[in-house]
Parts: sequence; structure tokens; C-alpha cells
Amino acid sequence: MDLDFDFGAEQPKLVMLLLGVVAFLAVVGLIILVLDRTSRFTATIMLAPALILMTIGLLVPTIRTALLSFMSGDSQRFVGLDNYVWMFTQPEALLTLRNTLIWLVLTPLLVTSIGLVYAVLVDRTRFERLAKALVFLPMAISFVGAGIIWKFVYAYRPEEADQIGLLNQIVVWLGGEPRQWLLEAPYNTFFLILVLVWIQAGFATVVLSAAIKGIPAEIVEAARLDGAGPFSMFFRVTLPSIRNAVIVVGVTQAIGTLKLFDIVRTMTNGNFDTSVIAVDMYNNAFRFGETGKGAALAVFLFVLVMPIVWYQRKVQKAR
Amino acid sequence: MSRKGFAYLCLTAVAFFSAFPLYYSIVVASRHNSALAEVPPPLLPGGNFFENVSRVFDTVPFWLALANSVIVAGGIALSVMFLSTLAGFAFAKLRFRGRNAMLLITVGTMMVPAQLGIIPLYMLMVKIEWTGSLYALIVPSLVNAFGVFFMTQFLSRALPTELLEAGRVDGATTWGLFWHVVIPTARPAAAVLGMLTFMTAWNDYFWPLVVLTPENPTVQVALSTLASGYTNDYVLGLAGTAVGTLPLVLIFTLLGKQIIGGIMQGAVKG
Repeated sequence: MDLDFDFGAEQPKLVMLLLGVVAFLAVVGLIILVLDRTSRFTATIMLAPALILMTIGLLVPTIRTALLSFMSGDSQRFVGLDNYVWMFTQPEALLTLRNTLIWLVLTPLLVTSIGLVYAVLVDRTRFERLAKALVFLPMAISFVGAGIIWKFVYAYRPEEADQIGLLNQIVVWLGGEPRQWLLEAPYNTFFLILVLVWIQAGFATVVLSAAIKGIPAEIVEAARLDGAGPFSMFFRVTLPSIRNAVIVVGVTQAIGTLKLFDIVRTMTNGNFDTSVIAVDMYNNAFRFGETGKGAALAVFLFVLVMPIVWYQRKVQKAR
Repeated sequence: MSRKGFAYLCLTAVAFFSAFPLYYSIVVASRHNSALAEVPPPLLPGGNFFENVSRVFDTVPFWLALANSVIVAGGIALSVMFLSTLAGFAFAKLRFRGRNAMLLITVGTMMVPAQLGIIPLYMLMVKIEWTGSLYALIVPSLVNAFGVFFMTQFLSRALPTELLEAGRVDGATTWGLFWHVVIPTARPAAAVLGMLTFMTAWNDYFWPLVVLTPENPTVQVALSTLASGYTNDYVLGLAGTAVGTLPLVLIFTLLGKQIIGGIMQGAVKG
């Protein structure tokens, strides 16, 4: 067992930390207690901690990132649009943008369609609960953990050796040649996407299944009496009825995919032509000392995410 | 093939795709490295799990990582629950100038991906010498826009305005109302928010990776250290993942239904 961790030595630090948090909350409470005059004043005090923390933790850094994206790598010199020009002209940066685009198209499409088909198929079967629980299982795993698990699934040994990776074992067992799933571009990006699909399919299934249960029984009954087969039932009744839920799932996946970092970082670290924006941003800002380029990538990420979120809020409001 | 047959085939395929990699990682995590190459591969868990886990604790400071993650995720969850209920109550039930504008800004910040602020936030942490310490993880996450929005939504539905007015007539202060009326009402939603926040903080990787060192990691940072070794010791990584996921599996088993409900409401968070 690990002997480096000495609770005694860590204790003062932890106690101090805890005290800090408690003291902060106590001060907030005390101010509210003492200064209870007008409703407006109280409201301000109640909102203050949330608003101040969000301003310091998010708003100010956001503005600073935007400014940094016009600066050089060491943030000393103004370079105008150079970092953005780099992003849209240099091959390695363009590759990152291309990969992000592939992720953005495939993940929502695969997650939503697998979730939809699965939700329709399990609906009102005897083992519905079990089937949904199974597909939901991977949600409990962190992205880093999922990356470790799938790195093992994709593991490769030279042909003469016995394969230890799950996928290559199955391939060899079926009489095929083992392959280096994570090394061969451009297919390796697809195998990384599969990991995210694995995690998120359960989320899609649960949300869409709930939506399907919400379709009024009379509509389904009427369609059945009119002689609708399973396919026209799906495309003419089920799908239009749960359209909004499908959009929300797809959009949620799109936003999550754009920000994706953990899986690529854990499995390939962006090597072998698999990098995506968030990974490139991390490498530029925190490993290569190219703060300006990192900031420009972060800003571009925001530009991509914003319209999608906007659309999602519109759909949710209409619901 | 009959329609029913097709349905069963699809179900089996998806269930296999979802569950088998998980099951097989448990199998591998409980066996010796040499068992991996056996033909046919082992399909049942072996007896080496605890030995492998103790190797995990020898390779990386995993006790420290677990303790750090509990402190960070627990601290953040408690603070988010409290501050979001406070702000949510103000937004939902108190009338004051600038309320709508402030609520709009709060909702607006939900759109901002965390990565957008990370570079300046890191520079700030360097300046105040918080890099490598847990402060850097906890303090910026004490509250978030999603939590405030979530509690505002809940309290404007669940908290009867008449109840608050009756309390005021009886002479209760706003703080008294918050303590005796709002908190009991908010408890179920705050619990869901707390669980979601705990999970998110427990699984967070980007910011801890940026601001912590491998000597003082969180669980996710320690796991990535395990997995990035050149030896490709898969057993080690999978055993670590199993231990690092256990707390979340427990929470899921106990509160799965509420969490799913919360995730669905919070789909906006992405």
C-alpha cells in the first residue's frame, strides 16, 4: 500500500481548507442575518456570492481569453489575427478542425439513432427495465475510465503473438487479421467516437424512452386501427410525436462532443491524426507555451458551441 | 427473420456492446497480466483483484487521490447546493430591480464552455500560488450558473408565494423564511443538484490536469498517470478504474432514478 500519503501531514492543509469554506459561507449567512432590512437589499446579498464567484471564475477569464487570442505565445506582443490565420491555414490545425467536424456530425447521429431504435424496441417488452439498466451502465464511468477500458479493448499485439485486446481477439477468432485500431488514420477517429457513443447511448435511450411513454395512447391506437405497420408507425406516429426530445438529445450530444477532451487525451493524446480542438488547445497553451494559439482555439470552440446552445434553448422553451 | 427475432437480435447486440466491455474489464482487473493472452481468454473473474489494487496504490498516490477527490467533490457539492438555493430563492421569489437582467446573464453564462476561461484562470492561480493545491479546484467551482438556474426553476414552481406571505405576516425575516420555509422545500432538488455536482466534480479531468501535479492528484489525474505508463500494464489501469469508479457506482445504485431525472432537466449543461 502507498506510504507517501500521511494523513497527519495533510491534516492542517485540509482543516484550513474546510475552515475557509465554512468561514466563507458563515460570513454570507451572517451578512444576511444582520442586514435584513428591505427585500431588495436582502436579494442583493443573497445573490452576491453566486454573482461575484461567477464573475471572477468565468466572466473575467472569458474576456481575458479573448484578449489573449490576439497576443503572441508568451502573451507579450500584439499579433492581430495571426493565431486565427494559423488555425485556418496550417495543416496540423486544419486536421484538428476536420476531426472535430467528424466528431460533431457522427456522435449526435449515432447516439441519437442507437438510443431511438433501442428505446422503440424495448418499449413495453417484458425485460424493459433490465435492458435500459444495461445500456445505462457506462454512464457511471468517468471519461478517463472509459478511455482506459477501451484502450484495452483496442489493444494490439504483433500478428505472431496472442492478441490480448478484446476486439482483436474477436477478429482473430472470426478468422481476420488483427489491426492497430488506434494508429491507422483516419479510421482511428471513428474508433474513438465509438467510445463516446458507448457512454452516451444510455442517456439517449432513457430520455427518448420517457418521451415515447408520453405519446397519448389514443394516437397509437388510432394508427393501429388504420392498419399502420411497424415502419409507418415509427416514421408517421412515434418520430413526429417525440421530435423535440430527439432534437434535445442530439443538441446535447453536439455540445458535449465539441468540448470533448478526456477520451482523446487518455487514449491517443491527439497523436496519429486524432486531435480535436480541446486537446489542441491544452497542448498549445499548457505544453508548447503557445498561449495565444490556445486562447484562439478556445474562442473558436465558444463560437461553435454558442449557436447550438441558442437553438437548444429555443426548442426547450417551445416545449 | 420475423420481426420479433430481429428485435431480440438488436437488443442483444446493444446490451452486449454496453455491458460486455465493463464486465470484461472487471475480469481482467481481477487476473494476472499473463492470463490476458490465454487462448481462449478468461471469461470469469479471477482471484488477483486485491493484489492488483494494492499494486495500483504502490504505483501512484491513490489514497491521496481518493481523499483529494472526496474533499474536492464533496466541498463543491455542498457549496453549490447552498449558494444555488440562496440565489435561486432570490431569483424565484424576491422582487428587486435588475432581476430579469441578472437572471438572463446567469442563464447566458451556461453557454460558455469551461475551457474558454481556463488559460487566464491558470495564470491567476500561478500568480496567487495556488497551483498544485486543492484551493485551485474548489474555489472557482463553489457555485455555477447551472445550479442557480436549476434551483430557480424548482423554487419558482415548488414554493407557494402564499406561504412566504403568511410567514411575513407572522413577522418572519427573509433569513428566517429562507431557513424555515425555503430550505425544507428545496431539499429534494438540492439533493439531486448535489449528486450531479459531485459526479461532475469527481469525473472532471481537464482543470485538475492543468492545475495539479501527479504528486498531489485527484482520482482522474491518478488514473491517467496509470494509463500513460509505457509498460501498457492494462491490468493496473483497469484495477485503478474499478476502484476509482466505485464511489459513483454506489451513488448511482442508491439514487439512480433521481439522478436520471436531474440529468434530463439539466440536458442543457451538455
